[in-house]
Order: sequence, then C-alpha cells, then structure tokens
Amino acid sequence: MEFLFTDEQLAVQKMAKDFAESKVKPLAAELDRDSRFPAELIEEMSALNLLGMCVPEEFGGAGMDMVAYVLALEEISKVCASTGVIMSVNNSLACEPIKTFGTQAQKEKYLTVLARGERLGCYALTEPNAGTDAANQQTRAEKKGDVYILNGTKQFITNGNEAEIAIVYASTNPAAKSKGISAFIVESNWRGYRVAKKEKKLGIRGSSCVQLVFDNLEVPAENILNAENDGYKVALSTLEVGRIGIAAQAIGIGAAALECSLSYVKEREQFGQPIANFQALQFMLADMATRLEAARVLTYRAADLKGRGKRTPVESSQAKLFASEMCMYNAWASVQLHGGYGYVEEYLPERLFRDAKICEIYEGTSEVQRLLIARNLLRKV
Amino acid sequence: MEIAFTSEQNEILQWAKRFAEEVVAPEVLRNQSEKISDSLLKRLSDEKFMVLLVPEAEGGSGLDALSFSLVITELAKVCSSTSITVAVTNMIADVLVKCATKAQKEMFLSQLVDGRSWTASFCLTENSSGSDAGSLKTRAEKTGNHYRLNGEKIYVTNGRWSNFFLVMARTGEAGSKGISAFLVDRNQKGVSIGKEEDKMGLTASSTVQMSFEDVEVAEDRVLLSPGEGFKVAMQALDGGRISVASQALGTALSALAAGISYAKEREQFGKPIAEFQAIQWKLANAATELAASEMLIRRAAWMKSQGQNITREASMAKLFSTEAAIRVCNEMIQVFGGYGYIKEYPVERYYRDVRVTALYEGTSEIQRVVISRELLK
Repeated sequence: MEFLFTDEQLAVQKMAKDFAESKVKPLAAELDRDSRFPAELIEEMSALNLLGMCVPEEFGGAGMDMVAYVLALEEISKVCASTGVIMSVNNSLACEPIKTFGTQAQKEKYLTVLARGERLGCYALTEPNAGTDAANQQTRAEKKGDVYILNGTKQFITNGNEAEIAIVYASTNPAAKSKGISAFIVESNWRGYRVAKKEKKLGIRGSSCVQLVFDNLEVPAENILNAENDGYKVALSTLEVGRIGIAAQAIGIGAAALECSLSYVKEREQFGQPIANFQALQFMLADMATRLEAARVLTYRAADLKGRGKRTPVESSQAKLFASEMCMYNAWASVQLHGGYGYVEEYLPERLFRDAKICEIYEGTSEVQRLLIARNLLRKV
Repeated sequence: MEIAFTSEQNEILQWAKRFAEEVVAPEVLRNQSEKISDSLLKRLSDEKFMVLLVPEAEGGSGLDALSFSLVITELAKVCSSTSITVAVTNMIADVLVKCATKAQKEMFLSQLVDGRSWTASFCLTENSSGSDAGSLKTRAEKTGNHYRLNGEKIYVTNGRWSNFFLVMARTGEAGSKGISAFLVDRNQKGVSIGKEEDKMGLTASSTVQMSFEDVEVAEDRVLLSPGEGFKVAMQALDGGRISVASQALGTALSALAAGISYAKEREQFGKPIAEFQAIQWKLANAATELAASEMLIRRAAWMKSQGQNITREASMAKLFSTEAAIRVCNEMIQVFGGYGYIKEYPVERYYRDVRVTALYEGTSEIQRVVISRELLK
C-alpha cells in the first residue's frame, strides 16, 4: 500500500489547476447566471488533453491513469462544477464504454474524436420512467436487416444539447428485462434524433441537460456496443467509472466550500474578533476538512483499483455516496459560516450549495448506492 | 499510489489474524469479567507483539507504521482490551526507539524485548489535567543529580503489569514548556499503584491510578532534554492516535460482520430482516464509513512510515474512525434489537468497548481543535 502520487499525477494536477484558475474560474459565475455552455473552454480542454484522459494515446487520449483523472477533475470542479460535469461525462460515460467494450473499428471512428474533444459525447440511459429502475427501458431497438430502428425518449441527458455522439441504451428483448438491453453508439445528426426539451436546473447551469427523442432512428448494426442483449453490463461497468468521476466532482465542490470558508472566517469580525476564533465555527471547519479527506481517500482507492482493471462495484459506490454527501454537508456549512452573505449570489457558497445537490442524485442516487453496497455485503458474508 | 497491500503486509495481516483467532479469541470467551491472563500477556510478549515497531536489530518485529496498524485492527476485531494493551506498550517502545539514549534503551526497552516487562505505561493524565495536558501538576524538583518526583496520575493503561512507566512531570515554568519525561521503575521507593478503575468497557485491560511520593529519579532517566517532555508526549500521541483509530476500526468491523450475519438469519414478518431497506441502509452506511476510516488510517500510517508530519492526518483518522465506529456499534445493536442488549451476543461488548476511543489519546473535541488549528494556520 502506497499513497504517494507519481510525478505524472502531480504534473497533471498542476496543469489542471493552472487551467482552472486562469481560464475556468473567471467564467464560472457568468456560466451559472446565464445558463451558458462554455463552448470556448471545450477547445482549450481538448488542447490540454482533458477530455479523454484515460484513453490510450493511439486513440487520441492522454494515456493517463485514473488517479490522475480524478485529481484533474477535482481541480476543474473546484472552480466550476458545470465544467466539471461536462468533462466527467465525456471522459467517464462516453469514452470509457467505447474504450472497454468497443471494436477496433468503433474505437478508430468514435473513441478517437471523443478523446481528442473534436466531438462531445453524452450518455443516454435514463428515461422518464426508468431512473433508479434503469433496467425498465422503454426505448425499443428493433433489428431490420443490418440496422436497428430505435424509438423512445431519454431524460436528463447531460451534454445532450452539444453532444454529437451518444451512447444509447434500448431494449432489444423487453421480456428479458435487464438481459434484453443493448447499447448503441449513435450520431446526433442522424435522422430521427431530436433534442426535445432543455431543462432549467437548480444548479450546474453551465452544462446542458436535455430530453432526447428517437423517432425511427436508424442505427447500423455495426454500432452496437458489446453484443446484442449484453448492454446492461456496459451500463454497470461504465457507471463504476462514472461514479468515480462524480465523486471527484463532489470533492472539487467540497474543497471549494472549505477554502472560501477558511478565508471568510479569518476576515469576518464579530464581537471584536475574527469569527475564526470561535470554537463552534472551528469545529465545523474541522468536520468539513475531515470529511473531505475521507472522501478523497475513498475516491483514490476506487480510482486506483479501477485504473488497474479491477471491477469496483462497491468501491465506486462508496466513493460516490460518501463524497456527494460530504459535498452537500460542506456546501451547507459554507453557507452557514458565511451567514446572510452565504445566501446571496455575490458570494460563492450560494452557487456551491445549488451545484452540490446534483451529486447526490445523478449516476445513481444515494439510495441506489446504499442498495448496491448492502446487496454486496449480504451476498459476500 | 497503489492501494493493494504488499505481499509482506498480507503476511503480517494473516499472522495477526491467526494469532487473534487462535490464541486471543478463546480467552475472550472464557474470561469476560477478568483481566487479560498472564499466559496471554506472556504469549504476546514472546511473539514480539509488544515490540512491533522496534527494529529487528534492536530485538523487535521491525514493522512499519502501516503494518503495525493492521495488527492492532486484527487484535481489536477479537478483543479491544488486548488491542489497547498491545498498542500502549508499543507506543512506549516506539518512543524509546526514537528518543532514548543507548543506556536508557538497555535499561528499559530491553525489558519489553526480552519479556521481563510484558507491558509499559504512559503517565500523563491527572485529576485536573486531561485535555489541558500542559497544565499537569506532578512536580519533579532537581536536587543534585537527582529529581524528586511528587504527584498523582490517573488512567494509566497497563498499570498493573508494567515494570516501568513513562511519567510526565513539571520541571520548570507553567505550561507545556516546563514539562519533562521520566522513565520510572515500578519498584522504586515512593511509587505506588492505586485503584484499578471499574470501566464501562475494555474490562480486561488495566487502568490504574498511581501516586509518586518523593520518588528519586536519576537525571539520566530523563528522555531527551529537560523541558522537552511535551515534545515526547506529542510524538507518542501522533502514533497513539493511529492506534486508537485502528482499534476502533477493528471493533466496528466485527460489529458489522455480526450485524450482517444476524440480519440474514433473523426473520420477522415472514422474511429475513436483511430484506428490509431500513436494515440494509444501516449496513451500507456502516460499511461505507468503515471503508473511509480504513483509508484515512492507512494513509496516516503510511505517512508516518515515510517520516512525514502527521499531526493533521492522525487527528482526522482518529476523529473520523472513532466516531464512525461508535455509530456503527450503536446501529448494529439496533439491528440485533433486544438481543443486542444482552451480554450473550457480542455487539453488547463492542458497544461498551468502542465508546472510549472517542475519549482517550485526545477526545474528539481535542482532535477538532488540532485539525482546525492546522487549517487556520
């Protein structure tokens, strides 16, 4: 067991931090206020190899390990959670399944452009009636000759407005439930693919969240990911990486909450002294920092194991569950420590508090993570 | 970064696990109301459990801090009392390795190595000096080349067995800078071992009051220099905090394992209670918090083995792990329902044993003070 970061991991962290501070941070408040997607940042992130970090260099990626990815994602999310999730979705949910399950031809055609950031990816699993019960897919894919015909509606698709490549799940055998689900690589400019509705959200407003409607969308059979009816395995494996990404995003938000609170309590004076002198507030800061570190080590554990090719059903869920609840606590505490100022837009905690909430919901709610963890515990012993 | 254990760490883990299950466990079942037996203490001493951190060249097991923490956790899974007895002795041994002169090592460390003293003890806390350790009142006045030691100590772990004690006493000004660390023999004139405390948990470990009355201590029994006692104490506590965290983790892991198997067996409303989400949630929360505890502990221990400053990390590991462990043991009693309240089932003992971990070697409140001080620096 060894906790030292490699030189490469530290270099990536520093690069991401410099980029986050100089380019992302100045835009963050505006992206949130105007619900604007930061198209200009995508180009720069692509140039810095931040969009396909764990993809091998031969397919246009950075060839980094997953711990480096977590460190970079934390830095970006720390200044802007919206940009963080845009990055996370492209890396974890678009690149990873093709990297892990794609054919050579699929990798050459799709993974390369996604990893280079030439095109953005999204992940279409959730449906209006298939959230936590993801296996209950109503989207149908029927095979006709050498194409599949897709019909259905996908809900809450992050990056969906800008993405040109989507990983889409659909049922190829409804009676078989989770064993009848297939995954497809779909291009957004194909006939029958439509962005139907853009959601207005509580937080992470700089990223898009849309409804996608497929109306007799024709997908070539060669675009099926993994075998027919073997798509649920793709979903579960992908979410193991996705959850590490969300944990890293949550850590970024939680770290920002602690950092802004630390500087505020040293400046703000009440009763003739900085409020940092009061034990009630010191203890809140100590709890924020302790939970933040606990979230970090859980996430590094999951990332290290996953990056070495292990399955991490429990580790990813524990990292995501703990980090997102830490994030919510830290955001809450930062508002509390700022008092009335924490409630107004001019101060960071107001945005952090809104952004934090999503971490407990997407890529499996906290309840789903607990279910998965408990199921595994009860099976093992 | 590499999360997996090395093969050496795995071997140590297995060694400790085997010992805990084969040698310690039968004793726990037999003697719930008694102190740890002499035969177990001798066995622990013979097999070098009391000098785990002492280099092999000096007669110890030569473990690094991380492997040491694994051993403490394995012992605590079976018996928290044994775990704390071993942990405190090792803490003193480690202080001697780092701070003692060659002569002091020959005189004291050797007793732990060859088993002349099964345990060692740390005398810091006093009636009116707990969290505010710097205010301790035990005095050591210099006369010639001797110090004359006077005062009373409480909560001395291992007191009934130890042949020597690391005693913190005031040699100078008020506050932490006026404190020195002394090595005192049990059989010195004026040393008396007082009452054995009747505790909520850790009932098989020894916790005594001690008094020192005109005890003459030679000046070569001072560890480091006079006035550097607090430095010795703080160094001991950094490592001690990792031990207590590791102990809490072990106890809670056993509580969780007991909760899981009980939940699968116990049927209510026509099915195992493990099928109810209310119970599943308790198990999932417990496993997640213990996983986080484990990683915080391992990282702090790894940093210690690298010689890094671990003030912040050791406090975080201790604060988080002990509070999580207490929550877990409490929740597992809830899983057991009424049976959890009965001594026949193990969770009753886990709950009593684990409570102290948020108190000794710095209360949770002191850990939060330490952490926030580091943050606001």
